[in-house]
Amino acid sequence: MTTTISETDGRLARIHETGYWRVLVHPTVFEERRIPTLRDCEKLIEAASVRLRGWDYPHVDNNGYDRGEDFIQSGSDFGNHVELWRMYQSGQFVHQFAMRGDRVPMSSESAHHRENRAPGSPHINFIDVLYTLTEILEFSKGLAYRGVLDSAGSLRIELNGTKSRMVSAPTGRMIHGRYVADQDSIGWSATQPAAILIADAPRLAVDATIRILKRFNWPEPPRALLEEEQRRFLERRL
Amino acid sequence: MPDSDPALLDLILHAREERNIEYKGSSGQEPFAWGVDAVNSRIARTTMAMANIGGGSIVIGMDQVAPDAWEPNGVSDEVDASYQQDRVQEYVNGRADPFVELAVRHVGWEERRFVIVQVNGFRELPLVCTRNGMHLREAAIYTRTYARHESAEIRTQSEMRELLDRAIAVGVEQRLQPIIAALRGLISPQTQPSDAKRFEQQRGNL
Repeated sequence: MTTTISETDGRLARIHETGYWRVLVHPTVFEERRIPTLRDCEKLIEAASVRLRGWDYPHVDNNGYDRGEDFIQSGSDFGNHVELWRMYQSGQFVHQFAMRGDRVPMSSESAHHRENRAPGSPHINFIDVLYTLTEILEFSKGLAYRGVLDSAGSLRIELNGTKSRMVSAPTGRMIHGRYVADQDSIGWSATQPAAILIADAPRLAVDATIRILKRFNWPEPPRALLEEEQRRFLERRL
Repeated sequence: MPDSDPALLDLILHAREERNIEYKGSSGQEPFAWGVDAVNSRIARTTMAMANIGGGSIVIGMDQVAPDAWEPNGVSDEVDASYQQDRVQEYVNGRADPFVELAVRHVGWEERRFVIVQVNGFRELPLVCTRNGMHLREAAIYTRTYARHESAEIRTQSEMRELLDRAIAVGVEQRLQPIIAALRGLISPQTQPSDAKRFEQQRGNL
């Protein structure tokens, strides 16, 4: 079910019931009608959308888009997918979504980690962090490629509700150690030339993943493993 | 009181040099303390280079542990105290023309201290070095290289082209601002919120 503008506050409240991600991407210079029409915003989302797993990024609900004065938006409330995103004509993209696994336990969490954390305590799958950041950076790359970010893009990615949240691994993966965040909000931000976003989005995603995992007190997240996982993800060999 | 602005912590935790982020070590052969000519002139060169590419940050307290890996070990209290806004600004702007806009920030993270020198991009004209020094050459125009993220004199045509493009863009923008504001019947440019603020206002609570 999509999110109408009047339902925005309610949807945000529902997203904030659990841990959640907040993503901001925009050019460095504000230009109110950088994207001429709302129809152009829709075309942009369709063209830049990233489809690497079952749920595209950003996901457009079956009912399509809702239109505001200078933005389009869509959202979902389906199982683990509780989200809302908005694309403004200024080129600003804002997305908030609940952390997957907080509402419905993820079947992909390994038994080892399920047993290792306190019952009911929150966790975050480090491979899911990598995949999500890869999708966000690939989408940003799509915006940069289409000129929406002009010469440089400003990115800010936040994970909220992270205090006492433990890093977990999916089935078939092991983490040697117990890594738990002690801050309730973890962020990564960067201003990158459009040319770098276009040329180097996967590396930026791995860098961001490592930065974020370090904030969970994981001293040395394994770069080589993350790069290999990302390569398989991008080649859709999952 | 040390700053704990998340945007500053992000610069520390980035742990990788970029074209607009330079790290300086804390536990090498020499502590990277302000007041030593070798240190002062390197900081001055880097601030000029960053101003010429549109701005950036120098983070002091990062130790290089591998070719592309840095550890946030912080600086001693003495090194931290050596960086004072007035002293840094006076030294740098005694060697740069027109002038470098910079801010010295003292940051605390996990009981460690860091100094961050934030540099704005030039407002009107590119920065030119006006005095010779250990790491400075009079009449040099510094930039941040793409290949190794270091501060160096402009040597290539593409670096010079980038600088000129930026100067033209900044100049054109400045000259157009009053005209655009007048056409829109808006308030004067001096009270116009920054671009970042306008994006923030646009998204509201989202």
